[in-house]
Parts: sequence; C-alpha cells; structure tokens
Amino acid sequence: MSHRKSKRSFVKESTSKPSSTRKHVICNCNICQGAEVDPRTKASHMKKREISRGLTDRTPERSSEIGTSQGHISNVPMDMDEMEISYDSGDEQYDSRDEQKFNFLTTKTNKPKRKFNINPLVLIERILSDHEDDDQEVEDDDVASIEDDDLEQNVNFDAPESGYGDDDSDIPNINIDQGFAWIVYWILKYQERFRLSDVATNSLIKFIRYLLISHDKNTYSMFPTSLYMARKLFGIGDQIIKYATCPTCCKLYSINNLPTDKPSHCSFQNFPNHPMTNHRSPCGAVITKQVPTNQGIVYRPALIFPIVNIKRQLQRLYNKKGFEESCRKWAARPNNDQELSDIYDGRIWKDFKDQNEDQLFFRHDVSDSNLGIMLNLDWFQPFDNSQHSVGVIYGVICNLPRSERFKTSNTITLAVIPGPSEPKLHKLNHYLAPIIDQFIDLWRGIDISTNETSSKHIRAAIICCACDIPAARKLCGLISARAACHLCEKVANFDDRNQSNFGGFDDMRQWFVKRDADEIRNNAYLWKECNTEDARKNHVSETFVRWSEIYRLPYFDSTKFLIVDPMHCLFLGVAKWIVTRLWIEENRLTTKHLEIMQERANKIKVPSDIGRIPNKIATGDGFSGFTADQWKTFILIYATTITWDLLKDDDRKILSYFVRACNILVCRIISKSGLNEAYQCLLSMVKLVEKQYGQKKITPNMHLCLHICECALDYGPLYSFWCYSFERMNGLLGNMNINII
Amino acid sequence: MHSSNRHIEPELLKTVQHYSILDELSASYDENQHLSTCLPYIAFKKSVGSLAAHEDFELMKYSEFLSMSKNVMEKAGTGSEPFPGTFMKPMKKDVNLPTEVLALLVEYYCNAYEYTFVTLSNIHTSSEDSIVVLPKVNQFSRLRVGAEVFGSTHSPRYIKSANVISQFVVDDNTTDIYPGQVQFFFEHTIHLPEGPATHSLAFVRWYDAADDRRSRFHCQIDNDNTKICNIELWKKDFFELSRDCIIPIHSILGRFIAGTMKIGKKNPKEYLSVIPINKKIHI
Repeated sequence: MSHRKSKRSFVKESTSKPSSTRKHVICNCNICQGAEVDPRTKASHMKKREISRGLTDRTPERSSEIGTSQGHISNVPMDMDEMEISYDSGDEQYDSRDEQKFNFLTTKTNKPKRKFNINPLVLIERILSDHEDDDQEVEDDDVASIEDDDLEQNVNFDAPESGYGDDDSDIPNINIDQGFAWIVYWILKYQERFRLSDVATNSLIKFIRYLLISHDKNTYSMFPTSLYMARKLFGIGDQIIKYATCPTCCKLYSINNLPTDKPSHCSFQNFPNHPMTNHRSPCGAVITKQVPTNQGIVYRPALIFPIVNIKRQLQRLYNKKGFEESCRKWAARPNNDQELSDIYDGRIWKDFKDQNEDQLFFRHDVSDSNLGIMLNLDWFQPFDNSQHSVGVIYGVICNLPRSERFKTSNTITLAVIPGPSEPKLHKLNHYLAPIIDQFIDLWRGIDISTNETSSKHIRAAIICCACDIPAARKLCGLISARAACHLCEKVANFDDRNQSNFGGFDDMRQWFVKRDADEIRNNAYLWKECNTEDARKNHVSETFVRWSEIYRLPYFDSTKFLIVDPMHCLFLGVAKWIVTRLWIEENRLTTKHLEIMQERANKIKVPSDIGRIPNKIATGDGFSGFTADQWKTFILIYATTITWDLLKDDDRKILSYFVRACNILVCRIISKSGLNEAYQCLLSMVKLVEKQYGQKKITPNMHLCLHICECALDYGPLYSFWCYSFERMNGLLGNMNINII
Repeated sequence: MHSSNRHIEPELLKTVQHYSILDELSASYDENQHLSTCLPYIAFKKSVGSLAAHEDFELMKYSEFLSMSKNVMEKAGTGSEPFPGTFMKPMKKDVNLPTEVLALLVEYYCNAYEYTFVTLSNIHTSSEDSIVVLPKVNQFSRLRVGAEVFGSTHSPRYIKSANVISQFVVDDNTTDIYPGQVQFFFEHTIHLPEGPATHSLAFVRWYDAADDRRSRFHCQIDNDNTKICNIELWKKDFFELSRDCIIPIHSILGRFIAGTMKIGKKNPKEYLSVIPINKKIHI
C-alpha cells in the first residue's frame, strides 16, 4: 500500500473512474509478463517501453540492466522515499553551512512544490513502473485525445544505430628502430606541426621517397609512395562514425541504409501525435545529392555529421604514458578550504554523488578512472569567404592538472556539427543524441586496457558545460537569455516596445532563488508530450524549457552544470556594454574624449607578456573590433588611468566597482572572502547602472554576472573553466588547411 | 581555400583524429634515437606571454611562495629560501657591488640575522666575531617566478617589466604596499657560522610617496564604508637610498604598470599611476 501512496503524492491524479467494460488482452511488457490486462493498459505499457528506451537506452537488454541498477527505485518505493529525504536534508545542511559565508549564492527554494513538479526518480518510476489500476486512470486521462493504436507518442530524437561498437582498436605494432618508419612518423608530425594540407604532405613524401631510393634502392623500396600509404603504415584509417543528416530538420540517418540508386527523403515526424492528421506528415526533405560517376548518377548524403567513438578516444589517451599518473595528481594535492586554486576546490568536484548517492564520484581510490568531463559547444566559421558555421563539441578531462587539461592532445573533439547554419532550437537534439548515448554508457562504466594495467573500469560524467550563452541555451533546451535567467527565477521585464531587460533589484530576495533542477528536467520531459507547435510554444513560454537530450543523463543538473562563461559575460558582455552603450552612446564620452584616451593609452608601456590593446579606441564608434582579451586588458590596466578625469562621479564608481571585481576574479587563486567582495562590487555596479541609466540598460549579461561568483565557488577560479581555452582550440581547427591544391 | 567537393566537417574531425593517433603512437617511439634528435626540430617554441600563464608549474609550491610575500608580518624571508623559478640571463658573474650598495647589503644582513656583519674594508675596526660580507655577487637582469618574468633596469630591454610592488611593515606595525623599480637581481653568498648561505636578492629603487593622502588615493571611491582604489598615484622620483632598497626576491608582491596621470586644475602635477598586475593571485 505504501507504494501506491508514494505514487499518488507525486503523480497527477485523475478523477475519472476506470471503465471495466473492455475485453482483456495479453500484455507482453516486462512488468505484466504475459498477464491479461485491459487493452488500453497494454497500449500504455507498450508506449512506456518506448519512452523508457528513449530515456535510458534503445536496446531492451540494457534497459533491464538499468532496471536492476536502479531497482530500488521502481521496486522498493520506501527506499526511494528515504533516499530522497536524506538527499534533501543533506542539501539543506550544506546550504545552511554556506549561506552564512556567502552572500552571493542564490537562495534555495522553500516554496511548496508545484503540481507538475515530479522528481526525476519518480518520473523514471512512472515510466518504467508497474501495472496497478490507478496507473491506468492516469494514462487514460493522458491519452484521451489520442487513438489507441498510436504507440509512439512523443517526438523521437534517437539516432540510428551506427556500430560504434568495440571493433578492433589495436595499435599496429611497428618496430620503429628497423627501417624507415621513423622518417614517415616525422613527416606526419611535421604536417601536424605546421598544419600542412594533405596535398603538401603527399608531395613531400614522394620527394623523400625519391631521395631515399636514389640513395639506397634495397632498403627503401618499401617506403610509402603516398600520404595514404604512409597513414596505412601506421594504421591511421578513417575511424569516425558518420551519419547522414537532414538539412531541414537535422534527423540523423545511418549512411549504409540509404539507397544509392534513388534519392532519399527525410521521414522524421516533428509532431507524430498532432491532432490534425495533415500536420503529422514527415519532413520529407531530400537528404541526398546527386553525384555523377562512371556508373551513372549515384545518390550520396548531402550533409554528414561525424562523431567520434569516445571509448576509443579514451583508450587512446589511456595508452599514453603518464596519462594515468597525471590523472591521479589531483588526489595528492593538499586541501585548502579558504582558497580556490583549481576545479578540485569547487563544490561540484567535492560533492558530486555517485550512482548510489552515498559515496562521492570523485574519490581518491578511483582518481584516475572516474573522469569528470567538461563540455564545450561552439560555432565557428571555417571559411573566409562564405557564410558557413560549423559547430564543434569538445570534451575536456578535468582530472588532468590544469596545465595539461587544455592541451590539444588531451582534449577530445567529440563531434562536428555540419553547417551551413546553426541548428535551430530543439533540432540540436538530433546531434546530441548519439553523444549522450555514449555518455550514458560511460556513466555505467566501460573496461579498457591502459598503459599500466590490462583492464580498467572507466567511468565518466559530464560535470560542466562551458559555452557562450546561445550555445548553452541550445545545449540544455532553455529559453532565450533575453526572456529568463537559467540559474535563478528572474524573468525579464518587457517594455512597451517589447524590449526585454533584467532590471528591478528591489525584490531581489524573491528572484535570487535557485531554480529547481528537478522541475526543469520534468518540464523538459513534458515538452516531448506537446503535440502541436502551439502547445510547444506555450510550454516553453510557461516553463522556459524545452526538451534536450542532455536530460537523459540521470545526474545532469542544469542549474549547476551550465555555467555562465566569464569571458563572454564579463568582458564581451559587461565591459563592452558599459563603455560603448552606456558611456559612448549616452555621450558621456565624446569622440574627443576617445582621442585623449588613445593618446594616453599610447604612453603606457606594458610588459611584453601582456597584450597591448590596439590603436583603435577612437576608431569608428569607438573600440572597434576589440576582442575579449583586449577588453580584459583595457579594463584591468588602461581604463582607470586614462578615463578617470573624463568621467562623472557615478561613472567613476561604476568603473571602480567593475575593475575591482575583475581584478579579484581573474586571479589564479581566489580566496573565498575575495569572492564575496567581488559579488558585492558587481551588485553595487549593476544597481548603480540601473539608477543612472534606467532599467532598460540592464542586459542579460548584467544579470548573469551576478551568478559568476557562484560558478567560481562551484568550479574554482575562472581560469579553470572559462572559454578562452576553448576558443583557442577553435582557432586551431579553423586554421587547418584542408586540401590546398 | 577548400577546393575539394568533400564535406568539411568529416575532414576536420578526421584531421583531429589523425593527430590524436599520432600522439598515441609517440609513446612507442620514445626510445627511437633518430626521432629524439629530429623531433625537436619541429617542437613548438616555449610559449611566452599570456599563454605562458597556462604553462605548468607547481601551483602549490607557488602559492606557498606567494603567501610569504603576502604575510610580511609573520613569515618574512631572508632571501635564502628556495623559490619556484630561476634567475635569467643576461648575467654577470662575480662582479663587485658598488660600495654604497654593499653598505646597504651589510645593513640588510645585520637586520635579517642576529650576527654582526662588516665589509672587508671595515674588518679591522669591528669586533672579532663579525662576519665579512664580500662584494662579489652574480648579477642578473631577469627573474622568473612561476610563469611571471620580472625585468630590471640593468638591461634596458626588460625595463617595462621592472616595476614591482612589495609590502613593508611600517612603523606602527601595519603593512603598506610600496612601488619601486628593480635595478638588478643578484645572488650573494655569506658564510654564516651554520655554513654558507646563498641569498637571492633584488636591488630596488622605491618611488617617493605623493604629498598627501588625497593625491595618493585620487582614484578612490567611498560608498557606505567600502573603499575601492584600483590605482594609486606616486611621485615620479625615487626615494633616497636606504636599507629597504635590498629586498629578498620572496617579498616581491607582483609587477605593476606605470602610467602617468595629471591631477589638479590650477597647476596640474604629473604623478605616476601604479596599476598592479595581479593576474596570478588576488592581493
């Protein structure tokens, strides 16, 4: 009985009585196991099975595996209740401990839970759950408008199976001391070092071969004749997984399943359960292009979405000498409670719970096998002369020490999202699905051989998403930054011209409250059940969230893991806004002032290791084309000296507060008391801006900078998570020369 | 630039993959004699500038070192302690210190240790147990601590990074931060009764304080008890030579950038604006 009670308290109850007039049929689902049930119950069970596959995995064996690993959730509900309580109390305890120390934390919700707020565990339970009669009532209510035969209710983002299984990932054993392998290896390294195109390298290899053969024909007769052969020598093949993707709706298709003799059309149904049948029609866009060959015209996929096999990538890293040792380093560092010097001092690393919740994920005994992955998603332009945005998803292993973490050789490039434009809104989910699939496997753990032992159980979790704001919103399916904050309950104010702002600090106590992660997750799931465009829109504007595949990760908490990137927020956001939009646009600084500033700036001699700012303060509208790093230098070094006497009293205050906050935040090591001060400065600054320039000047960035201190407490100093490191990698990728003839 | 009709996305990922495979292979080729000679040809230069901040160094050692320069009250160093970094070229080996600097050095040692020290020239007038301070030092123009490089006026090339700030205990037992310009760094060995000790020291000329507090904290804002002053103003002239001009490198707090600022309406006076660079640690 207790079971039913716990369910009722969470799941929406329906008042309608079950009808008992239907004929019973046999249900083959995992729960009923062939028992006779009501046809509607069967339908709902089958549907749940579909959902649960979507939620956990696609193969039934695996979903049952989840069932056992989380068996206590669905089978012993008492356990669940207890667990939840202990979790909550632990949380509160933690918070009360912290609140005394930090004034910049968003407060914890104390409100009664809303009616649609369902704990994810309960949700899993609801999805996987049993065959009790009251369940049927609920489902009856839900499916009322849908025909019984419509089993697949929700929009489905699953990627097709594409054997990213465990095929041979052996390193070819070449004895380099014999023969010429080292020469080939050097040439390939040479190509990497100078980012030469394949064509250039190919001709170099041919030339070296000629040289060697003319020197000694017998020894070097086997020297590779082309770049292709050289790569073959080292077993470097095409080891990426490719999907064909629909240019319109981004649905993924397995390339092998597409016929080559006729064009293929996209069969993705955006609204499989739209009440009007004509809206259920599939996307229908052509996903192939014609390629003329000798055998006539062949149809090939028009867009390709490549991803890597993360397991193989990890295997590769673990094969490197010293990798495990580097991963263990964090466990050996002394613990300092007062200072934050790396991500390990942050709250996330210290508190991240393992699957069974009673132990930490980042423990010393598994310091080199439980990996924390930081995810970054960003778009960049690989071509100079055409509009073509390519998205890249990087993974960084946080277990590595800071100095090695962001090295190109240690970052995993997970996937490249094809252009020519960024996928809109929920369409990104198609691309995320195969990656999240792999991360779900990694959360359960995989066995790989390493440099030190023959078999090691590796697990990995995404613990942080460091992206700029638009990418972050897409990644987690959140509403635009203009409408609501993703970390607290602040909702934008709209003025008469429908421009949003984040002003209004009098009622700060009410909105500076952390959003409920479970609620967000739950709402994300509910989005999938919206069956019309309007329903989706309404859902998003009410709950600020749409579905994202990332919520399939059981541990993902979008209110913590989705950080505010300090680089974009502080320097490209706030600094630029204050100078260009407040001071220059409101005529506090005139062109003449800008010229004086430039003159003064030229006199300041900075050490060579600090980038000079360009001679562009007075160019154009002022500060034209400053990069994030240049804004940083301008604020931290130049601003006060060169603008002080040009500004009025309040602007001086704004500047001083901001410079002070930045000075504290950009440090390598931040003390926790410093964070408090930085927050105070930022808050005073934002309030002052509102007082001086009005509510409409409070941009999303102005609001988000208030959350930076909390992010620093979660992830350590800004150095450990800001996007400068990733942008550099984008630069490297963008500079790669592909096939210069 | 990309002329082939192939898709760029798989090409990019493929290239990244190839690089990572090469990287993995490197482990098995470590012992190759040819490669260990030839790979350095294409090695990246040691990164400089703001990227150097990412270079590895022992963060913990560094923070311990930094705490020394921060807490002058409790744990001021004598200069013989190890530090996470090195002196850098250009250097002069075994040069004689100028007499006036040597006199300051003797004074410095007298303050740092509980012994009496004398210069070679004064040896016959002093008591017997006093320790002789020889004028021979190794002079350097640069110092690297962690990822940060300090210059000195000794070589004009590095004069831009020769400005340092340091914390001193002033008379009334509070500390204050002073800006100065490093003239040169030097290593000096004295023979203490415990054995010889090598000291890493810096010869610094300190800037003179502004006439009054108001000019020094010109750029200060006061708002409900919080005083924020991001830059301070100092005179452009040096303070006269004193014992404080020799400091152990451990008490260097960080570098600053010198700007100029004119204040005052009637007869504007030019001051040196001290813009501290504290990107490494919060002061």
